[in-house]
Amino acid sequence: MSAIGSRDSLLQLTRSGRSRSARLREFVNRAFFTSCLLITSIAIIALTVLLTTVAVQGWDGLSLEFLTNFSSRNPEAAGIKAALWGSVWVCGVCGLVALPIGVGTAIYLEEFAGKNRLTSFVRTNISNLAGVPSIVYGIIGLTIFARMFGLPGIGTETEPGLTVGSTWYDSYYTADGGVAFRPLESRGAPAGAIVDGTPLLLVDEVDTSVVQPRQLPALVVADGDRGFSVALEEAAIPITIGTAEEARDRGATLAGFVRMTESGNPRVWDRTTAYLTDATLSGAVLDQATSVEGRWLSCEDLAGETLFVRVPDDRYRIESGDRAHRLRTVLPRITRTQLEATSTPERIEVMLGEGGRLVQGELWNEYRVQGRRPTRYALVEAKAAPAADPPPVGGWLPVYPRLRNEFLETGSRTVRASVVADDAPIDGLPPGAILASDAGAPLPDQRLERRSWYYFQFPFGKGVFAGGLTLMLVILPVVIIASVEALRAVPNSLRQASLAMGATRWQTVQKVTLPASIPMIMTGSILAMSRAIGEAAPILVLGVALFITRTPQNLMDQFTILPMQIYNWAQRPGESFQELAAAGIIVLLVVLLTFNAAAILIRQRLQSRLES
Amino acid sequence: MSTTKGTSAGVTSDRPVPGSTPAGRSVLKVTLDPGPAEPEPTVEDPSPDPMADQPHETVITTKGFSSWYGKFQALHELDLEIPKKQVTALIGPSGCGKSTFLRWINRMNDTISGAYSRGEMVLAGEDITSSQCDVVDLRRRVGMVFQRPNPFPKSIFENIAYGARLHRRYDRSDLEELVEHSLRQAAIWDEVKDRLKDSALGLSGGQQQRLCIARAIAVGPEVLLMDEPCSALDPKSSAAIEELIRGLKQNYTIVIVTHNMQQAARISDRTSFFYEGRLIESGDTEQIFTTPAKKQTDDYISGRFG
Repeated sequence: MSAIGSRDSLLQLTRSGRSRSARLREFVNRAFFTSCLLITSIAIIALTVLLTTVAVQGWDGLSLEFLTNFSSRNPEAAGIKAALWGSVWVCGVCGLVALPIGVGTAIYLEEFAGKNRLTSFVRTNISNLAGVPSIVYGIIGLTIFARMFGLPGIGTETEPGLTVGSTWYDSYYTADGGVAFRPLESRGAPAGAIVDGTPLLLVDEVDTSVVQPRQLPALVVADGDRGFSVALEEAAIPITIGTAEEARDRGATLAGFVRMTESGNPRVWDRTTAYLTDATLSGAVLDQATSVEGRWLSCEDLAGETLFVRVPDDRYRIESGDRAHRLRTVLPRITRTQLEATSTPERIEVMLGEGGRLVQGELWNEYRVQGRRPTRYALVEAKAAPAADPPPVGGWLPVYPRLRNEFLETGSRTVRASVVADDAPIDGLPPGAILASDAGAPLPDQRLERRSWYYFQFPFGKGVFAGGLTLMLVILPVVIIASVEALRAVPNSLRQASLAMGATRWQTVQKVTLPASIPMIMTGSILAMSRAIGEAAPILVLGVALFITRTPQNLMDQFTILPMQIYNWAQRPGESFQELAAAGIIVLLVVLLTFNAAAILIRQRLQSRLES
Repeated sequence: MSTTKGTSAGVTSDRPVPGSTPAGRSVLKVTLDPGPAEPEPTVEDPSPDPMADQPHETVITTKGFSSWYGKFQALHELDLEIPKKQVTALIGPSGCGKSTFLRWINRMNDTISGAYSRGEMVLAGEDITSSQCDVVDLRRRVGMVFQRPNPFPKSIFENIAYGARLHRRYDRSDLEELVEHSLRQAAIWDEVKDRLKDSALGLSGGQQQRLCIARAIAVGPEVLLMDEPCSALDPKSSAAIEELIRGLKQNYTIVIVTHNMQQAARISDRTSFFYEGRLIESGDTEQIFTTPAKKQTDDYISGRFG
C-alpha cells in the first residue's frame, strides 16, 4: 500500500513545478553559444594580429645569411647562428638528461614504490615543483652546476679543479721574429723563453679581425723581456724602461704620465699603442705626447710602475676611441710611407682566414677583405725578396689558405686564433703551431688553451652543460608528471596478467607498461622540451655571455640561446634591430612548431603500431 | 629455474609439458545447454574422469589459513584440499573471500598493499605463503585467468610468446611450435592461425579469453586459477570456455571462481562454498548440489539468498 502511495506522489511531484518557457531556454542557449564564439574569435584575432605583425616585421630580416651569420653590432650583418646552435646544444643536453631521469622517476613512483608517507610526500612535491617559477631554477643551476656550491678544493668556474681534453700552448718567438705558440708539457709548466726581439706588429681592424704583418714597419717591437721598441719605417726605435733618474741621466725630458690600459695583461701591442690611442689614457698626457719630438715620455702601467719611453717624432697620430678607426688611419699611412722610403723590392704575402676574399688595392698595402662582414682575418707578411724580383705593385698577391681558425682560451676568455695547418707549414713555424691571434688577445707572454670537442671541466662553469642541466631542472617535474599520468593510464589488468605469468616487476615495466605508455610519455616530454626552448629566465640568471660569435665547440663552451638573443636585439634602439628581433621570433616559432609536429607524429606512429 | 628449491623437487617430473597433448583432442564432444539447466553434474559430464574412482592426489592444502586486508579479515581459518587434475569450483556470494583465496594461491595479493595472511598453504610440499617462496617461480607454476579478457596490446603470437620468453630463451622454431600447441590446447588455433601477426585486441571477447588461457598455459603451469572467466562473456563464448576447461583438466589442476551455479555444477568435480570469509562446505560437486550438509549451502544453491 505504502509503495503504491509513494509512486503516486512521485508522479505528482514530477509534474508539480512551473513549466519553463521554451523560448527563454532557447534564447539562453543561443546567447551562451554566441558569447563563446565571440570570445574565441577575439582570442584568435589577437593571435593572428600578433603573428602577422611579427611576420611582416621580421620577413625582410629572414634570409639564409640570417641563419648562417653570427650576431654583430652591425644589424645588416647580424645573424642568429650562435643562438640557434646554442639552443640546439642546450636543449639537447636538457633532453638527454631530463628524459631518462624523469621517466625513471615516474616508473619508480608508479610501478615500484609503495604507498607510504615518504612517496606521497615526494609525489606532492613534484607537483609543487612544476609550479615553481623558472627563475628560481636558474639560481639553483648557478649555485650547483656552474659553481658546485663553491666548495673548497674543487676549483672555480674559470680555474676548474679538473679538466679533461685541454692542451696548453706557450708563446715563443720564431727565428724570423714572429710570435707563435707551442704545446706545453703540462698546464703548470713555465712560460717559454722569449727567443728573439725582432719587429712585430699586431693590429686589429674591426673588432673581430686580426692583422699581423711581420717585419713590416711595425708599431711595437718586443725587445728582450723588459724593454720595448717602437719600430717605424727605417729602423727600430728603442723604448727604454727604467727609473726616472735613469731617464734624467740620459738627458730625457719628462713629458708627462701616461697610464696603461685597464687590462692588467701585459700585452705588447696594448702596452705600446694603448698609451697612444686608448680611451683610458688621460687627455692631457696625450696632448703632450703628440707634441713631443724625440724626447722621453714617462708612462705608468697599471702596476704603478713608471716607464720611460722615448718617442721619436710626431709621426704617430693620436687617435681616440675605437681601435678600428686607428687601424684605418694609421696603418695605410705607415705602409705607404714605407713604400716610398724603401727602394728595396719586397714580396708581400697575404694570408686569409676562413671566409672572405682578398681584393687587391691600387697600392699593394691597401687590402681589404670583402664579404658580408667587411673585414675578417688577414695576415700580411712581408719578406725581403731577391732584388731581381719586380715589385708586386699592380699584381696579384699570393694567398695562402694555410691558416685554420680556431677558438682558444686564454684562461679568462676566448679568442680566435689562426693555426698553421699541419700539412702546409709556413717557413719558420713548426706544424701545429699557432700563429696569429684575436683582437687584444693572446700575446707573447700569455698562454693559450686549446679545448678539444670532448673538453670537460669540473665545476662545469657557465657553459652548455650547466645551461642544459638548469633547463632540465625546469622541465623535470613536468616530464615526471606526464610520465606518471601515462603509466597510470595503462590498464592495471595488463600488469596483473604479466605478473600472474611470473614476470618480475621490471619485466612487466619493460615489456608491457612502458611500451603501452610511451606515446603519452613522448608527447608530454616533447611539449616539455618546447617549453625549455622558449625559456630565458634561468639562463639569464646563469649569466651567460650575450654577445657570442661562434657556435659551441664543446659541452663546457659558452653559449647563448634564441630567447636571449631576441631579447638582446629587442631592447636595442633602431628599427633594424627590431626587425632582427622579429626575424628571431619567427625562427623560434618555427623551431617550436617543429617540435610539436614531431610530438604528434611520434605519438601517432607509436599508437598505430600498438593498436594495429 | 625450479632447481633452486629443494621442496619442489618431486614436482618437476609430472609437470605437464605445454603442447604435449595432441592437437584438438582436448576438445570433447559435449552438447551443452547454455540456458538454465538443472544441476545434474553427473549426467552432464560426458567424459568420466579415468581417475575419478581413484583417491585423488592433493595439490594444494590449506590449514588454518586466514588473511587480512589491513584490519579487515577477509578469510577465517580455512582448511581446504584441492585435488590434482580436477576442477574445483569456489562459489559463494560477492565479497565472501573466494577471489581472495584464489589470489593467495599465486600470491597475486602481494600487489595489494596491506594484504597479509596467516596459516599454511602448501603447494606440492612447499609453503607458498612463506617469504622464502620464490614468487616468480610460483606464478609460473600457478597460472591465472582473469574475469575480463586482458590480452596485451601486441600481436596474437607475441601474446602467447610473452610468458614463455619471460622464463626461458627459445629458438624461433621452438617458440612457433609452443605458440601453436598452446593455441591448440586452448581450442582457438583454427580461428587465429591465419592472423597470428594481427593485434590480439581485434579478437572477440570469447576469443580473447581463450587467448588468455592459451597465454597462461604457454608458461607451463601445474595449476590454473580462473577468476570468473566467463562473467564478461556471452553464453556462447561461455560455453566454449566451459568446454575448454573440461578438456584442460586432463593436464591441469583447475580452481575456478564462479557466480554461475549451473556452470559450477556442469564443469567442476569438487565445489567449495564460501560465506563471509569462511569455508562453509566443501565436497564433491554432486554431493554439494544434491545433498548439501549445511542449510546455508542449500539456501545459496537453491537461490534463496546471495
